[in-house]
Amino acid sequence: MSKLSGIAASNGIAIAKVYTLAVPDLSFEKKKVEDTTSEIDRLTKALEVSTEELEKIKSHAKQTLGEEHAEIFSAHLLVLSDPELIDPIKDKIKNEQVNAEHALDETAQMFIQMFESMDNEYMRERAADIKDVTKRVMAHLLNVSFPNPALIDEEVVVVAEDLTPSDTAQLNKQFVQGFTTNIGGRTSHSAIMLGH
Amino acid sequence: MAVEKTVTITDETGVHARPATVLVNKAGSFTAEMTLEYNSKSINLKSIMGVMSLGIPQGAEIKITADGSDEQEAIDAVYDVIKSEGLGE
Repeated sequence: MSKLSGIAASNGIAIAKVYTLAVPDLSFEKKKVEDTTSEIDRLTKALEVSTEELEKIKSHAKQTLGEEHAEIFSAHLLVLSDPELIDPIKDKIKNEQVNAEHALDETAQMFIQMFESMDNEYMRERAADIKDVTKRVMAHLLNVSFPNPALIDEEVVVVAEDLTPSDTAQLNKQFVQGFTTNIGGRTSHSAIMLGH
Repeated sequence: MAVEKTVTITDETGVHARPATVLVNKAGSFTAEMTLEYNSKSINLKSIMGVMSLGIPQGAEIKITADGSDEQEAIDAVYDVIKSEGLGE
């Protein structure tokens, strides 16, 4: 038995099963591919699976968190089907004969940087959407599991390295009894969002 | 033969995230190619990132074009969204 100590971000005690919100390892290597057609197929499949997953999360979020919180997933779905994002990734695979992971990462990074540098809050939110969506697709390409905290349907205590605002928005307070993170304190964004 | 329509944006926050989402979803349901032109920049109306990247403010005059077999239906539907979302006229 081991004992951990930390800072209390809010008052109270919670006892429930642990839900580990692990950040998946999405590292990859750039590779040269000969068969670009099946590489594009692999991308298309990862996009399809991600779409199905997001549709499921969206309808779940609508029921448990309400229409407003579910909207974030509509935005994610639109990014996932955006021809201005997807077509350049496919072109890159074909023209540069690179693996889908590399093409996805380079193309998404270009958009993320462009949107983050804009002096407009909406655009910075779009950058966050692209980041979230890219991670999900990347996880499917690499066959690693991607956490979906929005689908939690039993009482848990969330354990994570850190919680992003998008993670926090997905947590259903009916089931999430408490959370503990390695990073953060009383005034961190997630502590404030969940404290209310 | 492509069809086009010019619209003035009356919404005080311009074309913001929520109506842009509805607009792109609607455009995406047609096969016609659709573009939106603002400030002499033309983008794909089926791309949320394209639409948002224009940062269209109130008072802006935009031109929507549809080209394809269902172009008339497409442009009418998109114009309906602009009106029903209170974006412009």
